Amino acid sequence: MLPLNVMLALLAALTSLMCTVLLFRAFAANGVRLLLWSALCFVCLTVNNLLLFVDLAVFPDADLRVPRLAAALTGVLFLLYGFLREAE
Amino acid sequence: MEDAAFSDEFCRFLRAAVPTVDAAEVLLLLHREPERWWAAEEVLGALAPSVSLSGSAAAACLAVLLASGLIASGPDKRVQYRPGFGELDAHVRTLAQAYRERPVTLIRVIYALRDSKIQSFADAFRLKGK
Repeated sequence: MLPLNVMLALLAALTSLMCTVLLFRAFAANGVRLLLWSALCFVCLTVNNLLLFVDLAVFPDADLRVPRLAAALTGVLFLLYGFLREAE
Repeated sequence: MEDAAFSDEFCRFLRAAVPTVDAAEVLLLLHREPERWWAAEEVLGALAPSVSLSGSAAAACLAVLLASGLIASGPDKRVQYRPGFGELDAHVRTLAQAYRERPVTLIRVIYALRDSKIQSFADAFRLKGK
């Protein structure tokens, strides 16, 4: 049985991955660019959560905080850029 | 003209290529005289006084139409109606028909599509279609 924090990280990664797939699917269907920026954001959030899982379960002695936060920041920047661009 | 003319494909075309009523006016003006090369000032002059457009708004409309492959740009910055492929021309003919026969509906649809980005975001998370 996995510890609770590892399970939560894994579930968060799977949820982010599902959001990524749904957003890319919607972008392919209707071409609204806001969906593309949102999907790219969720790609980064998926990486962020996978790194959290790796940090907790695979390399518990390593500190992956910097790459994790860098992935999350990149994702938020994608989303921010998308909102600003599409609001014009 | 029936509601069926506002198909999903036509609405996708409107959302991508004709985001504003002004863009529709400019596109239909160029479509009416497909052989003519227009300067931006001539477009403004031909639309006035029924459509009041600033120079920058007209330039923005022309940029959208150019990026959508509906018009071609000449060396002296004049533009001409020249859809990149037949499907685009068919959509423009549908647009012209809608403008003639159901202008109020067309304008409502263009405004509704413009405001639909957030709705698209919400709809993206629907696992099944509506």
